[in-house]
Amino acid sequence: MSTTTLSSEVAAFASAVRAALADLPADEVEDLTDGLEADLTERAEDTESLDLGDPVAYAQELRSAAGLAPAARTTPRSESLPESWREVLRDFRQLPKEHAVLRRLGAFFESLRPLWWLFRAWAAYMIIAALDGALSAAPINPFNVFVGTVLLIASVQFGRGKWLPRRWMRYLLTAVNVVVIITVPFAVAWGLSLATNPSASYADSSTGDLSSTGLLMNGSPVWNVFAYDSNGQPLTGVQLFDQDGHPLSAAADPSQESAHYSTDTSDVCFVPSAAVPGRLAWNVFPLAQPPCADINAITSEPNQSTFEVPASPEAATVAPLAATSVPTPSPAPTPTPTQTPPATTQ
Amino acid sequence: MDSTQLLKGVLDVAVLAAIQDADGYGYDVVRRLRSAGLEEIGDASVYGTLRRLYNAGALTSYVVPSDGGPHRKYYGINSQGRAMLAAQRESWAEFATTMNGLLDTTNRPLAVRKIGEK
Repeated sequence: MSTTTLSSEVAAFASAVRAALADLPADEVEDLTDGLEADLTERAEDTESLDLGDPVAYAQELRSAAGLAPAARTTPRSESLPESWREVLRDFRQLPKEHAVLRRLGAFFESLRPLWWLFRAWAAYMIIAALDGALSAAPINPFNVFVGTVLLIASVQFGRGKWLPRRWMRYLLTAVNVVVIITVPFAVAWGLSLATNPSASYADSSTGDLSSTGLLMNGSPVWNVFAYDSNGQPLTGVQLFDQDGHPLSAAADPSQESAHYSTDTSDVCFVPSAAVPGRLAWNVFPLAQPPCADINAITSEPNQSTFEVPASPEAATVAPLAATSVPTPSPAPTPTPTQTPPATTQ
Repeated sequence: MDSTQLLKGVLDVAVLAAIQDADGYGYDVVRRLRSAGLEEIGDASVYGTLRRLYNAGALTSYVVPSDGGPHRKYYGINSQGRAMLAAQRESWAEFATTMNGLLDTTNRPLAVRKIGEK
């Protein structure tokens, strides 16, 4: 046996033992480990073995034989994170044993556990309903009632510690609980919105893109505009601008070549006028309203005269205006008297 | 039966007995106990016990420098230690008699109940 190997092994072991006793006062450690190297060396020579064992266990044995308290739990540089979490948990669980108020509170909440089971089943149902459209938010048909009942029974049984024969199942249940707790605010919000407004989930699906953009009249979309002259004759090719000179586009997205709206009874489709070269003239009214089936057939230069346009005759050519210029309406022509005053005859 | 568990209860008296005739340093005491038959005794248990007995005033201690190696810390028994050893020897004898009686297969079961009550 090489002496240098032995002495380095012994030194390493001894320092590990001292490290494991580091929570004790320095003089206590000194007393306990005084002569440790000599003893270890002698033992190693005696047994002809370099195996000195586990220094931590050695320190523990030394400590308990000397009548000292076991290593403080808060030593741990080397302690793993989960281990310290476990200690925090353990300390946390100890709290009720030390405080009567907490004990009573705990008993109170423990009696509320069935409520939690109920709530967990409901939250699980809402999560499934949110993920899968087959379930409606409120159990209204037999299938929904069946799913809800199964979840309820399972939740209660799990809560009573039944139906979980394997340990991993309990971990799974813990995971489910965590998911439920995290999604509770969303589930509650969604459930409340459905309870107060059952059609809320459909509200924006058909007309959604019109509700906030495009031409609006008291919040409702304006699909088309019909203009008449002073004689009650319908006008065509009326180009409209707002106060800033921006075109009054009736389409939510003026870059589209057609607009498609759904009403309760039918679908309505519009195409912009081709009268203004260079852009899609969504502000030339009335807009042509071809059958929706033909929208796809419309070419880039639609011939609007081929479509039947209700309430408006064929579109007239409109002189292009600069988009930024504010159109100045020409003053209405003053009617010229066509009648000459009757001559007075003498 | 796990004899290390048994040893824990008698470590004090065993260590005191091991140095009653001659002072010894840590591993020296371990060696004496092992050669006396207590093979399973742990080094650290003996060192800890020596330290505790010293703190309790039953032992004296002195350091002997060794040539070339680290110094040795010797422990010796004092009068208080001898008194402690005598008392423990007595109670051990009593205890051993009781246990022998208890474990003696020819003994009456009544005795078991009286003594072995836990």
